[in-house]
Amino acid sequence: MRRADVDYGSDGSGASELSDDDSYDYGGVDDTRLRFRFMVEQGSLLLREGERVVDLLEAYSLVSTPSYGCSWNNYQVYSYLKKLGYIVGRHNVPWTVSKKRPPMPADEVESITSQFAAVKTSEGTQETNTACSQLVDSKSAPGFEVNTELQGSESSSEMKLMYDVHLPNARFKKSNPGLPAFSLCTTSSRPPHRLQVRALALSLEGRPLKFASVVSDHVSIYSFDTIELPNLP
Amino acid sequence: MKLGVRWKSREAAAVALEEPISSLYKELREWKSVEGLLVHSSVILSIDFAKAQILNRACFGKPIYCATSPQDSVPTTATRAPRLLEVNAELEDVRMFQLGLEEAFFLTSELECICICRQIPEGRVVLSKEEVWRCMQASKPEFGQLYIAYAHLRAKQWVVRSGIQYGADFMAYRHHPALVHSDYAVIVMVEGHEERMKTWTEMQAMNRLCGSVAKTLLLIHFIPKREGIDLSSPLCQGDFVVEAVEVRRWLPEKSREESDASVKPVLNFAIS
Repeated sequence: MRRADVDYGSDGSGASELSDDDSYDYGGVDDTRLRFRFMVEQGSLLLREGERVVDLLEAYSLVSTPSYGCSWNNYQVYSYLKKLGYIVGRHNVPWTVSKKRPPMPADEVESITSQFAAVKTSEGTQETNTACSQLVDSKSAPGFEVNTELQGSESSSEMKLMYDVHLPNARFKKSNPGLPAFSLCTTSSRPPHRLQVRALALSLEGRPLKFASVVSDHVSIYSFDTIELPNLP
Repeated sequence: MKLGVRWKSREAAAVALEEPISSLYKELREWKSVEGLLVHSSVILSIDFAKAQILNRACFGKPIYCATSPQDSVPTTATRAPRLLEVNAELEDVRMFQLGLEEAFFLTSELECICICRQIPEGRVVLSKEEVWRCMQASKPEFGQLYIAYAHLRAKQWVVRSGIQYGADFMAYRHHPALVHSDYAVIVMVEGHEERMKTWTEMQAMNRLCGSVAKTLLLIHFIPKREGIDLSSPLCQGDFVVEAVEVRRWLPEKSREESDASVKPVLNFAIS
């Protein structure tokens, strides 16, 4: 994957999302690609490859390339929420990587990466629950370098936690984002099975979970929450 | 998540609180085996005014308006057929009531206030619970799974009615539909044999329909506890775990404020 050399756009439109804090390093942060494509679309970023400016069409094709969890549908969900003012980040990927903090040991990164990539929400097998609980135990702490190389050949039909969404907030700080309002899972052409919902909900330990469906250009977001019906008088 | 009851008016709330569903169940339990006639997909009762009132208030079945119905019971919009027969004055008090299969089985099995019989050439014969279950299953293949969902809700004192008008299996109310707006449109899903809600289009359609009538879509999942469950016996009820899932569409355009309840974490995660 070629590295994007970023130019902060000469048209001056829109606010840049990138902070001026020089302790940030974007080289290893996974959702940067998504943000860059969005900013190209909004006209607030010019993407160059060497001397050449990457045009919008090419940027769209880049974001649809199935690597690092990207896909056109996932991008549409991201774009839809961003345009409404929500703050959207990749699930379990820190907003910043501070140079001040020491990087995580390579074997620990590899362990988390392989567990993350291995979470396939299949039809409610025990393995799914085990993988989810392992993920819960080895949750990524802020401040380490994450090069989560998500499987490049992941098909868009797999159901996985894709984004953490925060409500619109002018005082949002990447260094201290707080808990997201909910985590969002992108889905295939079918609604999630009960066991898939359960496995994903377990991995979030009760934090809100929603599912996005994309049909053509129409994005709908649903929740499938198990409830205990009350005994009435 | 909405927790409050949506009464139709303050007076409605007062009436409902004065007579909770559990008190109506108690009254029904005191009946001495009223006979109900199984006619394919319904059970017909011939009962007096007082019993008809209780069934109406507890929302079981509906009255059948016929030539022998007392004057006061016929709704004003119904046309009254001229009587061809002399009607005995005593029969003036008799009301004909029609129950659905699930309603009838619940009344006979859980509240034990009616017994169901069938007409045969020799006369009427009372059926056992197993026989009733088998007959009902024969006339309606999905009866077993629908009944389990029905009984699950009724046991919690929810009022359950047919959901056919909304394309659902049932509608669930917190009390009589005349007093309260329905909370849920219920669809039954049997694990491994789901026939509905398989595509986003259908999910969207049901949600849209529910939203336009201010109800929430509720999926009731049956998870079999073991392989090879025999649905031809009423004992199969104990072989399923029942789980209720609320399906809600989240509208980001309307949920930008911090205080919006739709993004609050869900507190329940339990199997009943």
